[in-house]
Amino acid sequence: MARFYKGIGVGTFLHRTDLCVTGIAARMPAAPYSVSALMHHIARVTTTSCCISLTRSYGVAAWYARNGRAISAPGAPGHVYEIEIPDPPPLATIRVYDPVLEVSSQYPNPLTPSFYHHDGDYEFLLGVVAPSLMKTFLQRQAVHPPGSAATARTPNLSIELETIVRALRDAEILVEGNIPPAWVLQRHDAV
Amino acid sequence: MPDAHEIETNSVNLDGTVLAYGPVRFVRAEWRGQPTPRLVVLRYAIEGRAGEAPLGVRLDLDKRAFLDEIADIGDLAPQVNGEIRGHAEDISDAVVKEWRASVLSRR
Repeated sequence: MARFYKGIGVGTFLHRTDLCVTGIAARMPAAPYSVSALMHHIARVTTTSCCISLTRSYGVAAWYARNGRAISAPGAPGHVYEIEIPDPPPLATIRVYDPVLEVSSQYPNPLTPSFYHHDGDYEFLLGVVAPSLMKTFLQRQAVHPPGSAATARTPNLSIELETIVRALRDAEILVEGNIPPAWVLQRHDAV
Repeated sequence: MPDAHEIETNSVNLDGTVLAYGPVRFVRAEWRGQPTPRLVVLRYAIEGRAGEAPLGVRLDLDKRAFLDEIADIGDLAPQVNGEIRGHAEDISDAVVKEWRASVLSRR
């Protein structure tokens, strides 16, 4: 068994529903799964996907629960659901993906010309983590060896790296398939 | 977990910005549970209607993307939501700029 959490904010799609009773369905359960779909779900907020986002972190779930389409309050709380998924899951109905593993497994050979790494300085990642708050780190030029005659540019930033960073921020895993109500153990109020 | 009373709700007034798209004007960003704005609720007013809409739209400032769409503007919704999505980066920057200004003004 593995324990996960889902934060539901006030006024959002699932807030009026008790997921302990209904379980959880993806927005587009018939859409095909692919690593590209996973990356767009996480890094581009494509919510019309076949996957459901869960987190390992109660704190992250509570953060989403408090910041719904209205701020949570004692009389109108957001909710955090505790979800337990059996190990192994019933593969006929559900698959569970670790986004970091899914993306990095696309690059098993570090000697190939394609990679997910950036080529900026050691602070570049701070800009990727918080581009609005630390934009300056994204805007520095990539440094090249002397005499390389490389065109001046900012560092490489791939959707693969963005996906890894965003998934780590939210301690996120994706579930393909519907989560049955029996796996949704309880609901907590988050105010 | 911290007690509910220890968790602060923060907000930044956006009236000084020009964040208007069709009949929608963003008036305030709110967030709860952390000191810096990362995931904010943008509250908005609709031209010709009194007060603010009862629900806002969430903007993830790290992903620079909206998590919700505005539905209460009838046939204009697809066009306005498309425009808002296209300006998510500019709107994120504007929220952070106003937040920084508000922090500096309190010092």
